[in-house]
Amino acid sequence: MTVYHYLIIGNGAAGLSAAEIIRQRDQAGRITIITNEPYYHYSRPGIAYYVLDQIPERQLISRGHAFYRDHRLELLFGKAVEIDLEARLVRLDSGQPIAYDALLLATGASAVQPPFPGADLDGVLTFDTLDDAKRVIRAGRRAKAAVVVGGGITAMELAEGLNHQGAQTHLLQRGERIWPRLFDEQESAIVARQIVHEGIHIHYREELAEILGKRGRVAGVRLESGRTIKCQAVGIAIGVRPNLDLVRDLPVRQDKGILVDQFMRSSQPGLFAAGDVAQVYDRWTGQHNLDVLWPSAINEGRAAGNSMVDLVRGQEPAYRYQKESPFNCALLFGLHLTVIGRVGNGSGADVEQLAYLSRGSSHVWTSPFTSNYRSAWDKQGFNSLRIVMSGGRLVGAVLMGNQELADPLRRLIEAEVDLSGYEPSLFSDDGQLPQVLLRAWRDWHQRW
Amino acid sequence: MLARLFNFFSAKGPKPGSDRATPPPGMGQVTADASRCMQCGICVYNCPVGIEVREYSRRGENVTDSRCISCGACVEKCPRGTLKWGPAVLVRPDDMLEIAPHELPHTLRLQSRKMP
Repeated sequence: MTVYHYLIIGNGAAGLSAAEIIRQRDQAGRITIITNEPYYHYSRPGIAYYVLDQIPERQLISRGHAFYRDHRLELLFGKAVEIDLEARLVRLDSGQPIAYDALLLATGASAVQPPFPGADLDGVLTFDTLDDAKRVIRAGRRAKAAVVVGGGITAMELAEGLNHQGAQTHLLQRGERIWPRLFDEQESAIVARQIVHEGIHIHYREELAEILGKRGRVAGVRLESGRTIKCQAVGIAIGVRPNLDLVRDLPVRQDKGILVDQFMRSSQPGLFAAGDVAQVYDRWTGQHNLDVLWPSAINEGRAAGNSMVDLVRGQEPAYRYQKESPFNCALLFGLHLTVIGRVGNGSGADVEQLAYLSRGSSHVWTSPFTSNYRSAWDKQGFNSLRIVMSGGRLVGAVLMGNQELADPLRRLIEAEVDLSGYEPSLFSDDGQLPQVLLRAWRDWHQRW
Repeated sequence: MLARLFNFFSAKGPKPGSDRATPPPGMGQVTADASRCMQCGICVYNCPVGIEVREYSRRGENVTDSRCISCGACVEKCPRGTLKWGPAVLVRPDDMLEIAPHELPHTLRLQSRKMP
């Protein structure tokens, strides 16, 4: 019997879930994972809690040595620098060539390098990896003041982390409120209130022009408005970009990421992609879109693993990846937040001109609607609930604070349940939105 | 072991007066929504008896470990709302009861594992 060699570049959520599936289906095959980080698999979203001292480093490692041993996964610490599609070879930076039968690129995405002058100074931080998190902790402890640029979840995590480590933190927002493309005004206000409560200063309508340095270290920032802020650390989270270095010069169809079909196959036979680096067709926008989300990465990894086994066995791929509604939840400044499906109001599109996606978000969330849509919302103190309806169906929701409805709403959105019968009471504005949704959910649930 | 013991004494339990401090009536186990979990491990770190809650959470299963003292520390600390109190699942995947029905406390309801 032939022993096939499955090669996976990337040790994150997508790469590891692919490896798990491959091992389940092919007990004899050889599985090699290449990682350029000196760690076993750790929870990438968990580093946000690591910088808040809520969890020690060793607990972040969710798959330790025993897992790799039990699943017989070879973990290679190194950097892949070249793929030879003809010879089916991957070359490491050490020069070592590795032959493969099926190759999965799960290289993820990394922070867009800051375009500002002074970006190479010591004390300029991004937030991608565990090593970055360690730098954030060190910088936050040393710095008296810190400035964070960016509008997404990562920027807020960075600000929260630096603030927690003792730096007086300033958060720069290009717009006049927090995350205008995703949140409506009330939601932005709730988040802003939490941020201010933590002791972080928010500066609206401010952009970074230059990072000032002194002897190679960050000493302050100059803003577009001419103001300067003295600081010893600058956190940049203006978005992420898929890591395409390996395929950039290869004849592989690519746009912002690697374009893949529903079996996670790229345009080259034997080459698969999954996770943040893959650009997947989605049924809502009818386009190939990027997601930088943990659950998507896991599901894509599983689909890719299945297709890889099918490929080496000479079978037709059978496991079709059906993209779910993009979904993410987070704990920001003590506030629980869940975003499901399509919730963008489109209005803030002119504010955020950069085309980069921030980590933990999806293009689908903010893509403009083609059909009419209406939204209803309910707010009580720190709890807020907003739903977006289109054509009698629920297409998106934002929940803050109380998360009781998160799971029902996700299922209703995923199943595209017709709720047109409830529409009058959903939009009646009598403060009964959660109750009506709960009733709709129970009715639908019972019918099953 | 020492670290775990230290953890036992220093783990910050649920806040007094928190509604999560004890299971609500009829809710006997910690349940997990796998799709919300991203394996950060805060649950394991805060568990005073050292249950690998994360493994249950990965599979979306109830925490059925017999060492669970229902303190609610994992529910309280979970940053993404993955863990919640829920009705106990006392039926194993092979359809055998975990405990005899007459041993069930009256607060626990029997429920099929296949609840959505």
